[in-house]
Amino acid sequence: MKLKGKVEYRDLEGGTYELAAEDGKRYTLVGASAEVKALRGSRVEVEGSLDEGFGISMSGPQLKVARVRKL
Amino acid sequence: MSGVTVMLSRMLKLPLLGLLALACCSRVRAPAVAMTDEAVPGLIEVELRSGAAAPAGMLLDRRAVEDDEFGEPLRREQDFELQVAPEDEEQVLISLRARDDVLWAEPVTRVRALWLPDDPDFSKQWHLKVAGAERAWDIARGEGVTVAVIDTGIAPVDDLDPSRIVPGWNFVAGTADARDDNGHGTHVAGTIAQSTGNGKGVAGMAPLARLMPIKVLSASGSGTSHDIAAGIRWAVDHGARVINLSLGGGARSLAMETAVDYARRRGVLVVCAAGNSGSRGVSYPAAYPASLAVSAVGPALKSAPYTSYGPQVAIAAPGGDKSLGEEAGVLQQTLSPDNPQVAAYRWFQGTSMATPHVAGAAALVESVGITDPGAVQRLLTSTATDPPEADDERYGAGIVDASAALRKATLWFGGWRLVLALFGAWFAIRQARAVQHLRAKDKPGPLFAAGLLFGSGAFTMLAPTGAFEKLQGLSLFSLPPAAWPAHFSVPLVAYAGFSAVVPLLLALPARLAQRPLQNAFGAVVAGLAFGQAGTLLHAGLFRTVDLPWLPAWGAALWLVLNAIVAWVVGRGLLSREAIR
Repeated sequence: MKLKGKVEYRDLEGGTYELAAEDGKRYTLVGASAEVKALRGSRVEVEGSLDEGFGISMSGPQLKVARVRKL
Repeated sequence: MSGVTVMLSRMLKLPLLGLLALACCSRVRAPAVAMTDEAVPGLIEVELRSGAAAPAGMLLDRRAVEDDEFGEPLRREQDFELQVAPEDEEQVLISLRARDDVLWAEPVTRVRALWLPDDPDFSKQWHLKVAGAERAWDIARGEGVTVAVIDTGIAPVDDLDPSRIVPGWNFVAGTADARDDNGHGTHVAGTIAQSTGNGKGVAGMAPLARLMPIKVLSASGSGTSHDIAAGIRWAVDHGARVINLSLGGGARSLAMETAVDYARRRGVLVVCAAGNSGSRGVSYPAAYPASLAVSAVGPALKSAPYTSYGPQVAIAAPGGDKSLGEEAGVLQQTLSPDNPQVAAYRWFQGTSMATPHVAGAAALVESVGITDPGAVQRLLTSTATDPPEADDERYGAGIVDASAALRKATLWFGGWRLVLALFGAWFAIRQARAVQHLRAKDKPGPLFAAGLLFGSGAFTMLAPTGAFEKLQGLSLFSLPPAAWPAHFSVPLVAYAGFSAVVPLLLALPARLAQRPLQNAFGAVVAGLAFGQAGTLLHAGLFRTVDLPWLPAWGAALWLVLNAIVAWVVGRGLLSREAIR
């Protein structure tokens, strides 16, 4: 799936990155951490898949990042 | 019942005096501070954000506080000690707490005979104090209990004692190397058992507990229900007594649910984070009936804004609230965010941080011989501190208080065991006299009393004095002797503890004497048998111990039957006092 939105940092569980998506939902971004970190605050398009959702963030669906691109 | 009273006063005198003397002696050696726990009138400690102006009052002490060598560079903060007129103290505190630039303000109190660790940043760990760790350490420090941290792994950082990390498993890579590559698991492990009293860094809830690293989450902090379920089963099968699950998700997984059920059936307490959605709806595995779900509170004890809540929340614990400032987080050693090869002390917030405070408290309770997960859970919830607002879905039973739970497990349970043992002894002696096995002038003496006190584990009632934790090698006395064999994890021998085997074996040689009560060995064994009967009956009635080789209902039956056997052993020794 492809989603557009803004990468936001959340000071939770040591720091997580979320996608505030244009569909109104928030997704915890999992994987590709260096790229995601570098795009903090930017509008991006993320290509990835929803995983089972188990992890440390516990704050909503988890989007496993395959590719992320700055818009 | 006056017979019981007379017997009690007669029997208790000598051994109790001895134990009390022991406790008093230990006070002299203890590295304790002052001996009262009263507030010092008019003395207030305040911490301000940098740049804020000093509050009104006579300034006694002022320090700039900054993070030391390891952590992220923090802003300098200011710590004040103020002297105000004692009658104004309450008003000054209220006005200080209302100020935006005040991180916290509290009356200065002198604490009573505490073992205070020398870890330099322990003073910043408000969360350990909230969870009752300070006073709990006088009673127990988690010795002999293994806590599995099912998370991103545990890094061998320098403020974790490597000898307390037992072998684990990495389910992500399929290897035995369960080192952390994220930092989350190491932070969680630190809250449970950071090296404490080592003059370095910070402290943990149950510093002498063992940590079992189980890696089920990748470097990015996510994992599958399959690996988590496998991790739970692995931990149970390899000797964990408490499992910490600072993770969760929204999907109900049957594999994980049956793994949690398996753990609970095998006598392992599973402590889980409620979730960080900030809304109603507890995540899984916390929401399973067999889990103990933990929500988070901040330093003011109010529910943290991020915490999930719902009817499944059993208890709350400090998880930090960084909306109040960096230092309102939970401080432990973990990995540096910039270089995961380097250790750093960092402030985290989340229900993941609340969970290990409860897992640590559970380890402390287990280390005083309460091994049934239901009993541990009941002790923790029944002694939790009242929250600032009535909201069961946010706070469960209240905020965890390890010290209150340990006082109940030692004072209250020790008292019950003694009462049951005394009642058994009184009844046996009365009966022996009625059938003329015992003459009225044959009275139980101090050796009989010593045996009874020992067998019933009555000396655990002295644990809150701190005697057993301060004197080397005495920590075993904070649990009843019936729990000693299991404490040493010796196969087969462990089973002898919660049974009538020991009094039975000792009674055989004792019975060779014509009049056991007049013989030192016989008198001690008779007392021990009634003491053991009290211990077993208490464990059976209150379901405080888990017997791994028996199902729950079988354990209660086994314990009560063995209590009867132990009583018969004691009664049998009385019958050798025959006057005929």
